[in-house]
Amino acid sequence: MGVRWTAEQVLALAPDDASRSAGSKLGTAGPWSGRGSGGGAVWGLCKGSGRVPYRTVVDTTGPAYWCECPSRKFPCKHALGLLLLQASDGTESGESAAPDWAGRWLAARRERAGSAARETGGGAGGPADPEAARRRAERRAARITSGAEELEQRLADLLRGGLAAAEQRGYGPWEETAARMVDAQAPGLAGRVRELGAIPGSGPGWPVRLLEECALTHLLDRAWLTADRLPAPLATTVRTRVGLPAPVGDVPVRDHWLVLAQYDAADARLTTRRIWLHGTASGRTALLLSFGAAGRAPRLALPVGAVLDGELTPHAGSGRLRAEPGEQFVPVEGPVAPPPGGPVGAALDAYGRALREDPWLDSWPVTLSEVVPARAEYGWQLADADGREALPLTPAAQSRPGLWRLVALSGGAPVTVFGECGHRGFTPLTAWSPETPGETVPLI
Amino acid sequence: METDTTTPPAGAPLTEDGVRDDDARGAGGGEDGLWEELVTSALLGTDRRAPARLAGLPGAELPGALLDLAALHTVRRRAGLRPGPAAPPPEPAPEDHRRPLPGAARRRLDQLLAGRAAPSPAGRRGAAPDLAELLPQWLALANERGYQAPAAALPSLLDAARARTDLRPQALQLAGPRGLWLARLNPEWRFALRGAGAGGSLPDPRDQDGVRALWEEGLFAERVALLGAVRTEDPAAGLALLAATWSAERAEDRLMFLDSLRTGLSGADEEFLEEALGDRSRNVRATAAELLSALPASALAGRMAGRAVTCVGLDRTAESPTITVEAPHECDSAMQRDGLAATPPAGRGERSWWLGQLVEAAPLSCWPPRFGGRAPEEIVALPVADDWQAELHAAWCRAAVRQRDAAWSRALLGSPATPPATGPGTSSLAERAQLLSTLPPEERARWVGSFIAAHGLSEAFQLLGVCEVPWAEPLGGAVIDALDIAREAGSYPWSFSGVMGLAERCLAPEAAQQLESLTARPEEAEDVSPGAGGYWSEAFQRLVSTLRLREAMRAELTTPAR
Repeated sequence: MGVRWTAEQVLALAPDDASRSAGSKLGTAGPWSGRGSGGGAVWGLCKGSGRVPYRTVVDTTGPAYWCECPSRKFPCKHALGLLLLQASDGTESGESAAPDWAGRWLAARRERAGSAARETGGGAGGPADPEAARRRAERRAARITSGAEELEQRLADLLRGGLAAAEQRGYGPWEETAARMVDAQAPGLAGRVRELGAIPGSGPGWPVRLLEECALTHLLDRAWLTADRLPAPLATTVRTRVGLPAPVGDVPVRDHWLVLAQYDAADARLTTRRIWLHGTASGRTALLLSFGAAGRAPRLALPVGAVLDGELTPHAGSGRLRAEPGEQFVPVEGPVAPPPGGPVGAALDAYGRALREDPWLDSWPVTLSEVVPARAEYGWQLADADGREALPLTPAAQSRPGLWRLVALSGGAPVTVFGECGHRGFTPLTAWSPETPGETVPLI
Repeated sequence: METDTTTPPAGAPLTEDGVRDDDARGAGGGEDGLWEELVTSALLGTDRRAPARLAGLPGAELPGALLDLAALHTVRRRAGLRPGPAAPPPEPAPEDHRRPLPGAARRRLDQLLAGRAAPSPAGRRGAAPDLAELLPQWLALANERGYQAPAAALPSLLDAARARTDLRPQALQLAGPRGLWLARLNPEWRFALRGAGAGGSLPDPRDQDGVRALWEEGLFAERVALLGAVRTEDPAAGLALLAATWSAERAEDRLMFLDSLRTGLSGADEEFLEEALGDRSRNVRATAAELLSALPASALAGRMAGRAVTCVGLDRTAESPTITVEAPHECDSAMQRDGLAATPPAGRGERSWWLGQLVEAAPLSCWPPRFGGRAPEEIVALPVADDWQAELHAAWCRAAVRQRDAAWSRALLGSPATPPATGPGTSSLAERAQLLSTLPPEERARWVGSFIAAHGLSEAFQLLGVCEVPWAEPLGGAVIDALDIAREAGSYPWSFSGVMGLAERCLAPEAAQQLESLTARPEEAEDVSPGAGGYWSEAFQRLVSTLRLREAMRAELTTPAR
């Protein structure tokens, strides 16, 4: 099975512009030796600055990468260069057998993949001692409960003294509360508290936003403390929001998945990568998350605009957007069509409906069809082609370079845009123009 | 306390369910009235002000009750958001009728533009091609083949043009009408609308009414662009356009307009230029004189020839024929009217200054008769009395460049094998490069090739810069051989980084084969600079991979569009 990625798809895998550029430079025969491909893998030796070339191998069915270089980027420029070079090889260069060093890694990786699949398939991969696990879970729930009670008390104190007085005390007390929530093993609450702390410095209108977010945090606390009385799907959502790991469902969905968008958000501790997929047969939208610790790029990278054949396992609970990727994704040839979309009003309806399942949602993935970017007094918006209704872009999206790609692609004419629609407005992530059908333009 | 307590941030474009715009907001009663009350109470603290709705609750329960209400309101508001009114859409971008790029070329453009964003680290450059340096070639080629820029690449293209002024003309041409449309929407790209922006809306040079209207009413930059366009199409029409309004133009504008006449300059312009010699502005006079002296048949050229030959002559009484020079004793008003500057720059003698200007402006055709029918080579070889040689030859060089005279340039350049310091003409590399540019391209490449074979690369940089790309043989071979010699001599490649960079951009891609053998890392000899071999092999690898990349770029832009 020789899986060949196109140069576009390979470039989309790059974690940032610098790697894209560095990878492109290595996408020429010059620095490479001992190159070969076969059995769904590509390998080669790349001459770097050192005396000994780096050995690089890519399993294109993953995709998964291994390289001897010390780079923390993932995939590294050598893996990108190798894939680009393969993409530009005019003719099928024929299958060959992997050299020992590449073969060992490939075999080990596929062994892992196989056993993971068996576990998921068998569904019996439970912990060794269910009784101990149950006790651990109870202890953690008790800690979270005391954390949630403490947070409730702090919110009450805040409201009694007034938000204005809290603003003058600055970020310190928030950070301290967030640390208490980390101690209580409730990372979801800790994250919310940190965001609360940032609101007073976020410009005009902050009291309204702070009250809204305090109220929703209060709602989450109350929901956790009374979770046993909630319907099961909502209770799962509450547990996930508080920060407990989401239970992975046991029914994988196989489909041809269009990679809609991939973007990273980083704070000092963690880089979170979000990947949106659209199942072309099931019509399902799925979100994959991948994490990288402190400055490292997350492991999972999929090329925007590619259609991949593979399995996803959706998480249980309400909302059900999040999914875990299967081990193998194989690119599918063929035309790319954007997901079916609707007018801006329907996008807000979809967000509103989603709030019924999960009132803490900030946004919901939607596709807008036949919309035109237009400039209103407050900034850019996406307007229905009939010129009646419009959705504003979020303040963050107003200042991203992707905005200009969207405007350029549209040229004042209707386009199809995928993005996240929420109470702050719309964040465009990907666009398609009828002028260049089949071209997926990432906006972030 | 002054705080905005309306629901979403000011100017909010999203409205709530059933409520269009702001007619129900701030109305005091109902849900919005309650929300404002909640925000005020939260801001001041429930201890100080309890919401009226919660009156009667004990103080300890107030915060929880307030947050309950606020949560309800927040989720209700979010779930009921409606779109706001649409703003008027932007004018549609004008259509671009050029053909779309082939897929591979499209991806190459993205790579080159991404390469620009992440330049190679300074210093040692590694074995990979420098993508940013290839962008100008790619743009020129794509424009030549008549492709349009992909819409999604326009922002990066405009950013590239903003950062590098040398890219602007080509990048803006590729960006085309949609690029200008986009630039109007973003103040960061305002540069695109200056000057070149007018280029997008120039009338057809043959559209007489349109041309006249813009010429009479346009902005200065538009008028300069218009005159240039008309002059390229029809020199006589351009001259007529300028002559019609000449006397009413401001002096600095006259200077710029006059400069446009360089394009398509011919005897037909003489009368106009002769009149401009009487212009009020000294700079306009000087430019008119310079243009006239580039027309060897003009009256001014005749006057200059008359003056020049009285100053420079042949002394037949000497042992061997020798050129004698008698520099002018004065610079009279007639000479000044013909464009001679009377006052020399600091540190130069008046008389030699005047002589230099006279000889520079005199047609070169006046010299063979003056020297007994000798050809330029023979004249240049004649000895010059009293140390006037440098002054005289330098003036002839300037004249040869101004009059684009290949025969004199050839004579003044001399044999490429002669060391620059002892040859005729000039030893300045910049002036030699100018002389070279008057020769036909093949001859230029041959001359520079022989120069490099004789003297190596250290002085070749400027000369290489005027050779046509890609370098014709034997020039390419000479450069490669010289690089090989430099490597064997044990120098480091960065002593030749200028030439290396040029070679990457200018060598013909076929040269890659000849270079392949040089990329091997040689055994380290004892007498060379430590590590040099490895660095050379890296530099040659980069050269080879850049040439291969250029070949691929060209092929991608040659394949028919999708």
